Amino acid sequence: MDWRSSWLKEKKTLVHTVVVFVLSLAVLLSGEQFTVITGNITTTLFYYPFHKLKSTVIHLTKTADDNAALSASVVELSTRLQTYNDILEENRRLRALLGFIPPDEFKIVPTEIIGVSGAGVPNTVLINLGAEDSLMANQTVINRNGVAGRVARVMNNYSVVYLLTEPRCRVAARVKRSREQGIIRYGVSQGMYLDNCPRQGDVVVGDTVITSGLGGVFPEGLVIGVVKSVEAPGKKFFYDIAVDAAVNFNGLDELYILTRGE
Amino acid sequence: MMRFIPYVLYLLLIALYRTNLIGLFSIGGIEIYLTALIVLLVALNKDHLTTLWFAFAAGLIYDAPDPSLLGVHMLILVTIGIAASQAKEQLNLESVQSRLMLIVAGLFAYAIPYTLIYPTSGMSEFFRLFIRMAIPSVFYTAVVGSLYFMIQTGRFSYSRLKSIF
Repeated sequence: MDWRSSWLKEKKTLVHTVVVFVLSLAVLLSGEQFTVITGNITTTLFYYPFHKLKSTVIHLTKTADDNAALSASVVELSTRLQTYNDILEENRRLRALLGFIPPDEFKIVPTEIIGVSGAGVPNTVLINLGAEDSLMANQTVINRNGVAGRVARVMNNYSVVYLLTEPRCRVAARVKRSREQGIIRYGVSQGMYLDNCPRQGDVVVGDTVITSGLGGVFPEGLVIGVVKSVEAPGKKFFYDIAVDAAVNFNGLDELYILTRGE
Repeated sequence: MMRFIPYVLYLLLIALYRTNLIGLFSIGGIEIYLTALIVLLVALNKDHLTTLWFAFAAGLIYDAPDPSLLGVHMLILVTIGIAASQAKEQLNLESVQSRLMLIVAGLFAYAIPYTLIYPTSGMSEFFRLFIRMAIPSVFYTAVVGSLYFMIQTGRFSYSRLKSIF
C-alpha cells in the first residue's frame, strides 16, 4: 500500500495527465446520448445565463424602441383625436343650425336652386350641383323640415330634382307611431297621400309619416309629413290617407343632398 | 474552494465571449481565440495540474453548444496546455517577449486542429482558410495577449493612459 501511494505521489502529474486524456477521449468517443446530456448540462450552467441576458437586453432595447414609437403615435393620435372632436362638435353645431340630423352614414351637401318648374305646385327643381360634384341619381334631397325629393337626372354641373309633388317620385313610408307601411304618392287632384296602407292598420290623424328605408332610395327615418285625414271608403281594401307634407314646396329656398359619408 | 472561483470566472468569460461578445470582436471572420489564450495564460502563470484540469473544463465549455464535437476541444486544449506548461518549465520565460512567443506558438498549435475541424473540401481549401482566417486570428489574439502582458507588467495602466491624453 505504501509503495503505491508513494508512486502515485511521485507520478502525480503523469497520473493526472493520463486521467485527463483518457476522460477527453472517453467523452470524444462516447455515444450521442451522453454528449447531448453533457452538452445540455454545461450549456444550461454556463451559456444559458448569458443567452438569457442577451435576449433580455435585446427585448428591452426593442421594448424601448417600441415605447418611443408608441409614445410618438399617442401624441400624434391625441392631436388627431382632438381635431376630430373639434370637427365633430362643429358638425353637430352645423346640423343643429340646419335643424336636421342626417342618418349616421350620411353627410349633407348644401345646394342652391337655380330653376323651378311645375304647374301650380312646383314638382321639379334644377340645382347647381352635378356629376362633377359627385352627385348621383336617386340621392335624397331634403330641407330643414324633411324630405323634399330625389335627384332624378345628373348633368355635369347641375341636376334635376324630382320633388315629392312630382307623380313619378314615390317614397316607401311608414307611420312613425304604429309603423304601418305604405307608399307616399302625389296626385294633382288628391295632393299627397299615403297609399297601400290596409284599413286594418292603425293610422290616425296627426300621425307623423316617415321614410321606411325600403326601396333603397331614401334612408329610413326622414320626416315626410303628418296625416291630415284618414278615410275608409266602402269596400276598398286600403285607407285613403291624406298627408300634409312637412316641406313647403312653394317656399323652397334651400336644399341639401344626402350623400353617403366618406 | 475559494481558489476555484477565478477559474470559474474564466470559464464564464469563455461562455460570455462565445454567446455575446464574439460578434462584437470579430473582424470579417477573424476572431480572438480567447479560450486558447486563457488556457495558455493559465499555463504560464499556474502549475501543471491546474492547467491540465482547467484546459479540460475549458474544452468542455467550448464544445457544449455543439455536442457532436464534445471532446475535440478538450483534447486540443489539454495538449497545448500541457505543452505550454512543459515549455514554461524547460525554458527561461522571464521576459514578456519570450512569453509572447510561447503564446503565439501555442496559438498556432491551436489554430491548425481548430481549422481542421471545419468541414473543408480539400487541402487547398484548408490552407486558404488557414492563411485567410487562422493566421490573422492568431496575430489578433496575440495582440490581445500582449495587451494582457502590458497590463500585468504595469506598462499599460490607467494613469499612463491618462498621462497620454
